[in-house]
Amino acid sequence: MSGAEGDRVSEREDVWLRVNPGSGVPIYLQLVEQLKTAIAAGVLEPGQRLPSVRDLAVRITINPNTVARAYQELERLGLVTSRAGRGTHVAAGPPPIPEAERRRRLREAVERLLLEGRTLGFSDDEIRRAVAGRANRAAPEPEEGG
Amino acid sequence: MDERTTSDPAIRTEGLTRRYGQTVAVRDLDLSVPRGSVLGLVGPNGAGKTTTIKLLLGLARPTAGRAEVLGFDAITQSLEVRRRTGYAPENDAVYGWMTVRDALDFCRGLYPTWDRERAGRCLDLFGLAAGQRVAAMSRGMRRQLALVLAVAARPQLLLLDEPTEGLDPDRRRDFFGVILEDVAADGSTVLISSHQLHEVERVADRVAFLRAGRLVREGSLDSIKETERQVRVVFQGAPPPDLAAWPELGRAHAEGRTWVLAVRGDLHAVLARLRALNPFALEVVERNLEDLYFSLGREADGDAHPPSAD
Repeated sequence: MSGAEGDRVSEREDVWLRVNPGSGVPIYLQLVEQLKTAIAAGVLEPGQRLPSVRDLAVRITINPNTVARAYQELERLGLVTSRAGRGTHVAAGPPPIPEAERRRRLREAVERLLLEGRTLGFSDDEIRRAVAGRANRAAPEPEEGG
Repeated sequence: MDERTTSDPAIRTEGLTRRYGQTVAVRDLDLSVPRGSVLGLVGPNGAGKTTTIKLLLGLARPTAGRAEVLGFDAITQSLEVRRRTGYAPENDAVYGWMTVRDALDFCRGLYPTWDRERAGRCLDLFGLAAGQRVAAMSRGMRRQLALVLAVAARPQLLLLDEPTEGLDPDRRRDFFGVILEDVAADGSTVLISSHQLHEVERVADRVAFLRAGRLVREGSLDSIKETERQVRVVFQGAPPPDLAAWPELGRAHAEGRTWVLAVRGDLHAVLARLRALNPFALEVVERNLEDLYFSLGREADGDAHPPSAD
């Protein structure tokens, strides 16, 4: 593996990329979400080169057009840049997650929580108290795994 | 005007129909497969998958309509089509008296684009020995040989009829690796008929649902998934009386207290409208290929006029 500084092909880093074809979520969206998270978490650094469409497709056995579509979507979101012949790189200084997107994700998480709580027979008041009690804890516990 | 430009679809059929006596195996098939795509052809046994493939290769004559493959007419230019197409049939007892080496030599003579290095690599991949006699091989091994023969010619189009039946998961994955490399590197086109829906879901970017010889739905797999989403909702009281008239919704039905709504239009608009009603529970159901297979199948069975393809 040769390549200039900041131009390395990630060999190891895509190991965590996992697609679940049977989940019903379009595979390109699964890739987009995972790569977004990896960029936000700094697992993929600004300037780092993503695997080529062909390499990634073959390595995780999915359609190359699907990988290409995921890369296009990331480019549209400003998270990666792509130049012909030079591959796809993580954008320098990736933009933070847009406000609307942050709110949407929070709302979805709250909905899942509400559904779970209501299904277990808790009232909305009890759920509210449980959330407030948890949020008031002095030191939030670090999150394990992903 | 040269018909055989690369912007032509790899496969185009118009009103393609094949009858066997009273049975209509393929009915009025209009299909267009862009180059560089992997199309999964799915449907129950007898849906017309194998007949469709045979019609594309000129191995069966259409009763009506026509098919164009790689810009060539499937009947009048069948030889041109076959020279550029790799075909792994569903049943292959053709090479019974040969050794693996004989079969390779035979096929090499048929294809100007034969790639010896790739043939050797694929044999290794499947653990097939050149001196093995085809007659003594297991069904799975013969299947593997058929796949080697189909891909070693580096064809522009691969037609694979139930390609991975009898293959273990490792070999399946390796085999699809070889195919996907070709799609990415050479822009070749692949048509896979299969009952292995999870496999199709992984490697295909387009899917065609066949049922009783008719095309029920065809298009980008991701787009179909995105347009066939469902919302499950439990209302606090009675459902809104105008639910059936919401423009974004298709079919709606109740399962106990849970309403299952098919979303045809903007999902986020539907969710916003439902949220405003403060429902007890609200959930988006993403549907995988198997779910789509069954629901599109049910729709087709109950509907003489299938929804048009997108």
